[in-house]
Amino acid sequence: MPGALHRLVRMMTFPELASGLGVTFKWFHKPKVTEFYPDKRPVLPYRAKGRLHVDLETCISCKMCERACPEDCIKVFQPPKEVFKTDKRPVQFFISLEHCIHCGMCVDPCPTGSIHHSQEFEMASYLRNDYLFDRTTLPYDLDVKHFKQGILENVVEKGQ
Amino acid sequence: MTFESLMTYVGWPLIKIVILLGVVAFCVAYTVYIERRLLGFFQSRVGPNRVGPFGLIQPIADGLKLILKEDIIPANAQPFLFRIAPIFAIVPAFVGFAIISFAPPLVTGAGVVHPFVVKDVNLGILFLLSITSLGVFGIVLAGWSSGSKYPLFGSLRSASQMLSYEIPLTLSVLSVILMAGSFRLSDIVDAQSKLPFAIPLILAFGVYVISAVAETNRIPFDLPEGESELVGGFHTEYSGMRFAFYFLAEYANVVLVCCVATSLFLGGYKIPFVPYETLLAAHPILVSALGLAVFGVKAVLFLYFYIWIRATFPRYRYDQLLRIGWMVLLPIALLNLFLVAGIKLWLLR
Repeated sequence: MPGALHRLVRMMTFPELASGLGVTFKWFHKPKVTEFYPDKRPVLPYRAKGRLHVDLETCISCKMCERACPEDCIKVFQPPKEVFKTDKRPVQFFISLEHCIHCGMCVDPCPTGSIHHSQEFEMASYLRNDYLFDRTTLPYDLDVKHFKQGILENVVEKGQ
Repeated sequence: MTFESLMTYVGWPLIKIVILLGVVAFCVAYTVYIERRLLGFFQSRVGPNRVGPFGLIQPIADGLKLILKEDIIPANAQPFLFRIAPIFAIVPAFVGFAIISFAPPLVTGAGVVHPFVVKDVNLGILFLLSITSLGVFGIVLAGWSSGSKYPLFGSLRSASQMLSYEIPLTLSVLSVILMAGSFRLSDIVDAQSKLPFAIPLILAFGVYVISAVAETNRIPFDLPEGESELVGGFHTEYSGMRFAFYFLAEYANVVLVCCVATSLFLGGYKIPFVPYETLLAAHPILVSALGLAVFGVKAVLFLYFYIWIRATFPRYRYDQLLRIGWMVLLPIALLNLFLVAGIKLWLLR
């Protein structure tokens, strides 16, 4: 008889339904997981692999990145031999983002650290030529200072 | 016929009907917005927020899109019934609002009373119940005339569901009528000036809430339009404005159920624990405005509960649905009716 009474009480008060309602009510007040991307820029991780940036002033045209690239999207042109003895900066540097898979294999062998991933990820374009970066477009897109500051900020954030 | 009598019997009701239609259509459109927004919150999303500030223009954009879409009539359909079915669905949903008094009557001068209701029918509840049960015709006709199997299944399910749940709903409303001693909606609201009926008639209120969810074909009783089983249910073959009619009818029914629940169980436009006479002595216009606001707040709270239910529960199986209707809700409603009748007969003479 107590069992039957207990069952009747449970049947009339719906404890399961109430607990279910409680769960949804809890989630109603929690912060939402949606990222408001175009309105608010996302906080990228410290080692986010964005577009490749090259510091053409420190590059020594050693072609290590060109050899390491699995997709052959990097092409480096050394200066003529006489110039190369004194000035090792490349005369031309091509990166094709159409082929780049953002694997980071070119970044590892670089002896001077002049090629690296940036935090830039908005690379969509209507023109194919926009994906081919050369000597004229690379330095202008380059924002090493900003990039290094970004790393520093991230490090500081991590330290805290 | 003089101008005055023409105004009394035709003019003022027409003006009221036009205002009410506009307000109700606006409320229904924004009920859709509120529902999508709150559902988003319940599911840890944000809901529509792109069109206008906080996505507030979203219902207008949706309506515009549906108007501009092509109106397709399938080759197998019966064109006349197919065309007329959405009207059967939407008209009862909007007509039901005619008897609901949204605010206390405005008293200006000696004996001049402006009621905030299109027509305070003396058999208001019966009118409401009979009109809203006409809505099932729209669904059945849609399923029958579409010439497709999913709408037919959906409409058959809907017919049995709405007929089953009509009975507990009516019985729970009957106990309210017993308590108030009148079929007139304004009398029922007046009878709740001390205590909302939801407290003494808690059983009837529970039965009403559950069967109202089933009557409006919403989750967890949304079998007639179960997306995972029946594509879209009875409105699978509809597109464009005719689909919008079904959409509007569904949400108009939701708003109507909220308004009726507010009037019958939550005390209508009465402010809880504040005697009506002291307020009326203060300022008549203030009383009406406050009453309207209180009615709105109660209805929106009930709507919130409705959406909360939708965000929480999964869909019932078909046999479970009918078993709840016939074997749980109907006995509870009958028991409640007997109890209320007994109390009314012997204790509250």
